[in-house]
Order: sequence, then structure tokens, then C-alpha cells
Amino acid sequence: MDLDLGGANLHTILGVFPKGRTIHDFFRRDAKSLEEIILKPDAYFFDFIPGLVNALPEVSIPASQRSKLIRHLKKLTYDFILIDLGAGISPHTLDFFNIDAGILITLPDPASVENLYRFLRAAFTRRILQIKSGKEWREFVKKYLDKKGSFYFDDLEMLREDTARFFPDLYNKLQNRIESFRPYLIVNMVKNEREFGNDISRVTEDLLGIQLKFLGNVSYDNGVVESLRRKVLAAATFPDSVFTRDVENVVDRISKELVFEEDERLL
Amino acid sequence: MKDYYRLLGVRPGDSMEKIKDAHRRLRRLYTSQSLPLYSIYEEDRVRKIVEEIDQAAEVLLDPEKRRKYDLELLNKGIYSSRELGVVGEEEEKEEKEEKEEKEPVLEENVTGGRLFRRVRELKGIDLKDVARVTRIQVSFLKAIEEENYEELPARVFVRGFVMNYARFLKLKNIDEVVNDYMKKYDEWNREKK
Repeated sequence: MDLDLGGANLHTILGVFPKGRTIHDFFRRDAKSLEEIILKPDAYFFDFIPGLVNALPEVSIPASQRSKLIRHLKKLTYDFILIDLGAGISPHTLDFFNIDAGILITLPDPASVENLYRFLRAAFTRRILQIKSGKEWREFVKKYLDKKGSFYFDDLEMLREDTARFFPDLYNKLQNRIESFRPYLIVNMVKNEREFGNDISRVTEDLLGIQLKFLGNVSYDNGVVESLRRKVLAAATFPDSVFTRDVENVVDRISKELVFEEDERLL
Repeated sequence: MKDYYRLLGVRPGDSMEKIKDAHRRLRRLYTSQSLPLYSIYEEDRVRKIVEEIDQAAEVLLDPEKRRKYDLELLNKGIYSSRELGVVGEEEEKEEKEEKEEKEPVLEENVTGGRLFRRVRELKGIDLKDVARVTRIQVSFLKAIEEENYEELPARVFVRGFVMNYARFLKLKNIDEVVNDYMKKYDEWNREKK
């Protein structure tokens, strides 16, 4: 499902061009349910909901639309629902990232590293702020945030202890929120930085107190650029490439990590 | 008790060479110019981490200190003698006998959360030590043992927790145990709905 509101382009990468309706028809209430906008491309074993193709892009959607979409997603019966969120920190990306298993994709360069940490901390902070609505809790939590508005490991320990003291009824919920935050990491366009993902994972745990599970590298490959230009799937065009092998490896890891039963849905 | 092996990202029983490499790699990682630390480098915190990994290396790279440390891990039940690679003939025999002793318990039709508790108690391991190794909070471990599903997080995490806990206890037929546990959990889930 393409939920990259500002720059939906999954259809191009998949080579599936939506002639009919997109997710925006759902938001505009032209489509009553998600089923009405689901595409079933012959070429794939999966269905696809395209994002906005041609109109002024919206960067975010109102909270009411977000919860409506989540409600409707819950009604779908798929083994996995993969949501492409696009880059950037917004209530939109943070909330959908936090629904279930959030997977981050980064590149081994400083700008990406900075954004990765910023996003992780924002998602984590939002998770904790959302435990309880109201000013009292928000103000309490804010005392433990640093200048950048997120947690460092030691502050988190303090927050735990003080919550037990001042908000004992929220303590279990807080613990739960902290423990159940298990984001995943994929490193893309890797040339020779094979250890980068493991290093990031280690540092994230040591410094931010967040367990970021490294799923694997996806190698840099000229074939991918060529495939994009030809609007065909790289993995299908170059089945024997290092890139394809890497992607398969990552997919394997994901499905092992997230074991779903037959009747289990994403949410 | 700190798990120095975990701290250095190695396994007990790994060679000195491997431990030395891991230590060197971590020292390289924890420098102010390292890319993975970009934008989150914090001097005090990093200094503390470096001290910890140095301390771990000091113990694990000294054969005498490592031996003592391994013994302590063994006594606390954090690792088995097999994992630690310190299985002598006598110990192996003891281990075998120990296993034989445990056998009846597993066949007593103890299932679900109770199985976890029984095996853990039999091994004389404290929940706190389980938590330290598995990284699962004590309250969740307790909830798993007591089948207090309400206290547990989303299903996909529960499965992971149960799996890790079962692995930690070295239960036999892990898949079966976990599936069995999740079946009961799912029944509860359905009733709740």
C-alpha cells in the first residue's frame, strides 16, 4: 500500500499503473471501503493500493482520517500488509510506523544516519506521549526529554522510576510501550559497509535504549537503476543479481521475525 | 552480574582471537568520528560504554580471569558448561545425570506457563537472571509463566518472548512448546473478542 503522501511512486516501481481510483478516493469518501480501490495485478502474488498519482500532494492527513484508515486496514484479511510511508517525520509517518512492526530503510551516509536517529527518537517519544492524553502527562514526560525533544537512555531510566512513583497506574503501560517498541532496520545501497547495520543496531541500543533489529544489507546495484528506468521490477529482471539475493535474504528474515497465524492481521 | 560476552558481541567459548577482534572493532566504533555515532555522540555516555567494554576485554582476554568469570556464569546458570566450552569429562557426566534427573518433570504433563516455571525453578534460576539474558522484562516473564495474557504486549511479541524464554531454558521440542502456548493464548484472545 502506497501511503507516501508527498511522493507516491510505488506504481512506477512495480510497473502497475492505476487507471482507476487511489487511496485519495478513500480519503475523499469517493470509495467507501479499501476493497474498492485494491488492485490485483496479474504479474504479482500480492494486491496493491496505489497512492496519489496526479494532484497537489498532501503532506499529512488529519488524525481522524488516520484512525479511519487504520480501522479499515484491520478489516482486511491479508497475511502481511506492507505500508510504504515515504521519508520524513510527521504525525502521519510516526503513527503508521508505530502501528506494528516498523521497518526503517537507511543508507550508510551521515545525512541518512542523522535522519534515522531523529525518526527513531521521534517515534519512540510519540509512543510514550500517547500513553495518556492531557497536559499533565505531557508536561511530566517533557521533563525527561533533552534539548532535541527526545530521550537518551539515562533519562528513560529516570522516567521509568519516577512514573512508578508519580503515575503508578501508568507504569505497566509505560513498560509495555517501551518493551514493545521493536523497530527493524534495512541498509540500502551498500557497497562495502557490510558491518554498518550491525554497528547502528549496537549504538542505538547502547545510547538510545532502543532495540533496533538489523534485518540485512541490500547491495548497490546498477541493474536497479536500469530496471527503474525500464519500469520493471529489478528482482524480476535480474533474478541472479546480488541485489535480488539480498532482497530475498531480507524478506526471509522479515517473515521469520513476524510469524503470523492464518487469521492474524497486521494490527 | 554483567554479561561480558554479550557486551562484546561474542559467544562464550569463542577464541581469544575472536574476542580481541570484537573488542578492537567496538573501540573503533565508539570514537567521536565514527559514522554510526553521527548526531547522537555524547561524550559522558560513550566514555562509560568504552570503560565497560574495556573491562569486559580485560577479564575475557586474561585466561585466569576468564576461567573464574566463566565459573561464576556457570554457577549462576546464565550459560551452560557446554556453551562455555568448559565441559570436562566429569562435568559432562554430571550434566548427563542432571538431565536424566530433569527428564521426569518434562513428562509429567506440565504444559503452558507452568512448564516454564517448573523448569526454571528446577534449574534454580532467578527471573531477574532470565531477564538479563533474554532481555525480556521480569513482569512479562512472570506473565508468561502465570499465563496472565492481559499483561502481555501484542501477539507477535508474545511469540518472540515465549520462543526466547524457551530457548533460554533449553526446553525440548521448542516449536511444539511454543505452538502449544500460542494456541492457548489465541483461545483466550478469541474469547476476549
